[in-house]
Amino acid sequence: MNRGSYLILNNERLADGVFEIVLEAPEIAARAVPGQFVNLYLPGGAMLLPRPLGIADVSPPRTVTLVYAVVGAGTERLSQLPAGRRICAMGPLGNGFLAKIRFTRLLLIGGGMGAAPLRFAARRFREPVHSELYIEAFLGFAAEPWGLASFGAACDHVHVASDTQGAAAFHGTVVDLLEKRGRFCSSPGAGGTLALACGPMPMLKAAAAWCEARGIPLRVSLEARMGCGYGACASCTCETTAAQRKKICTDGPCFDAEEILW
Amino acid sequence: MVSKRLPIDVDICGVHWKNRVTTASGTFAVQKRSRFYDPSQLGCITTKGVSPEPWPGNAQPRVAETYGGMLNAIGLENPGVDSYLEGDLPQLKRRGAVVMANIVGHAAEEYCAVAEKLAGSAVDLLELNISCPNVKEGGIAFGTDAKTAAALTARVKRAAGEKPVIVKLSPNVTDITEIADAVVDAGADGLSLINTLIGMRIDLKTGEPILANKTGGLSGPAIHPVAVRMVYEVRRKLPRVPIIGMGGVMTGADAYELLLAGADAIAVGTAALADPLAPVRVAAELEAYLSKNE
Ligand SMILES: Cc1cc2nc3c(=O)[nH]c(=O)nc-3n(C[C@H](O)[C@H](O)[C@H](O)COP(=O)(O)OP(=O)(O)OC[C@H]3O[C@@H](n4cnc5c(N)ncnc54)[C@H](O)[C@@H]3O)c2cc1C
Ligand SMILES: Cc1cc2nc3c(=O)[nH]c(=O)nc-3n(C[C@H](O)[C@H](O)[C@H](O)COP(=O)(O)O)c2cc1C
Repeated sequence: MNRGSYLILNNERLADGVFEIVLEAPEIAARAVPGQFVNLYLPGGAMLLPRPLGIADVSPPRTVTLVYAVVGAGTERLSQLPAGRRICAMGPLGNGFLAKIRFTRLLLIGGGMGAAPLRFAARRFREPVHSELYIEAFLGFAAEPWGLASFGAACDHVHVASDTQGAAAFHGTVVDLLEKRGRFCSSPGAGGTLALACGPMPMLKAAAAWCEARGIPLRVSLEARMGCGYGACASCTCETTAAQRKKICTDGPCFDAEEILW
Repeated sequence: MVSKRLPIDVDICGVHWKNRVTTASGTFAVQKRSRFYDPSQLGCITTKGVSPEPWPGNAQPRVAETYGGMLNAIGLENPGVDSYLEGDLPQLKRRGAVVMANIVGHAAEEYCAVAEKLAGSAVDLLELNISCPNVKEGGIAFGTDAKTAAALTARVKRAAGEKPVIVKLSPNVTDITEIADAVVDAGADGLSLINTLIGMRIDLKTGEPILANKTGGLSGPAIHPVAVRMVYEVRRKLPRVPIIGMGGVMTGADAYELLLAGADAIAVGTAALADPLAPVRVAAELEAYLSKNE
């Protein structure tokens, strides 16, 4: 993991209240895997805590892309930093989605900003080694959707639920969308479906129930307020089926859905 | 600049520290490999509060940001002293670190149980935490009344055998020197100060406190002047007792200021959450200050 001051190559609005920032961070780009995150540290000294953001894309050998919603003082300040400035960042942090099972179909289930790490997952799994993989994304947005072009380029199929798009769009939650359009079930034997999900806790819980009912293994990425993001402060621990509590920042943020006490 | 002639290294209650910097309890993670720095680079490594049994800690959220600081209400989550004796402690000792164990309990018996187990271990120093504001029983309840603090100190001293006992004081009192005086009288070998100040933040959207515990301990640069004032007051009252000063140290200059106030060594806490390398950077910067003044 690396911590340093990185050049902002781009920082622009993607959708209403959603921004994409691109950093020139070769050390982070070289090592990042989907599901990992980066801590951003705001300039000035008034806001000391890290802003953890899931890695939304990486173009080796140089750049790391993060997508963030402006929700508070820190992300507001971040949205004002122009290209050409530097920002302090540390990463890649956390474990990544990495599943130990074989699969031939990948189901990406994202809610809101949870789509960010899935975008990286879609791109990475699309790469040549995985070319036979069938990738289908189910994305739900309460606000204006973003990033659909990148999902479109990397996935075989993208389904979108949105409360803000016109009459043609699917209205409802991402789990309603799965219910309606998701036809996958795990086929035993030659590697079935793997699902990855990131988004708000109620969405993850519903996705976990949906996948469990169909025997689809699911990896979820969790969120919590973090004091450090690298395992020092125990702010973000959660109870799992394991005897000891786990740290979302270093044991996660990605867990098998079965491990989580929903 | 006022010069204070101090060597780089220091002796704290008979334990040699190669420099005057330690980690503040609860802000350092023991890693299987030295992911950020070799722990023997610091004068001492102070570890997270350890209790006789595993403690689960408080509900989420446990941290909130404040202007130039943070609130935490971790609630002393830790895997218990047996796990500490098998895991963190031997790992740190193997890498040549001087180690101070921060000990906690809900009751005097629990503090003593931990101290007894650590008495026969490789740990170098004990830090008696009577100042955690985030647990319902124990913690700060022992640190805000001079008599109670003194009685606990005396009992833990007996349980700790040969190990030096440093008492960590709470700033949430009217007169910190009164407690300092009482615990030193009761046998404390040294003092650590300050622990966090009790604070609260409210979410403007919900009108509810951000922390699940409602209140939390304030740390970081926002509390540095309070730490400087309290170290200064305690040093004036007790000219000889070893003092480890802490509270908002971000730089060598902040650390040096605490030494000028009367501390013998300093700890880096919140700064390390924002930058894992902060303690070694502060040690290097402090060394530059001290060599300038030689
Ligand atoms: C592993 C992980 C990955 C994340 N990935 C993304 C992402 O890709 N895109 C995105 O938009 N958001 C993501 N988040 C949430 C993001 O970290 C917060 O929205 C952001 O920190 C809010 O900062 P703020 O200063 O604007 O809000 P404020 O409320 O002013 O922040 C105050 C403090 O609370 C913390 N905080 C506030 N909300 C959250 C939250 N929801 N989760 C964690 N910490 C919070 C902040 O980090 C800060 O320390 C992720 C969170 C985690 C834990
Ligand atoms: C996340 C966190 C956890 C802490 N845990 C402990 C603890 O277990 N025991 C203890 O005595 N103090 C604990 N503290 C207090 C610190 O050791 C220190 O006294 C205080 O934070 C002031 O120093 P700072 O401003 O450099 O952080 C904790 C502080 C923080 C921020």
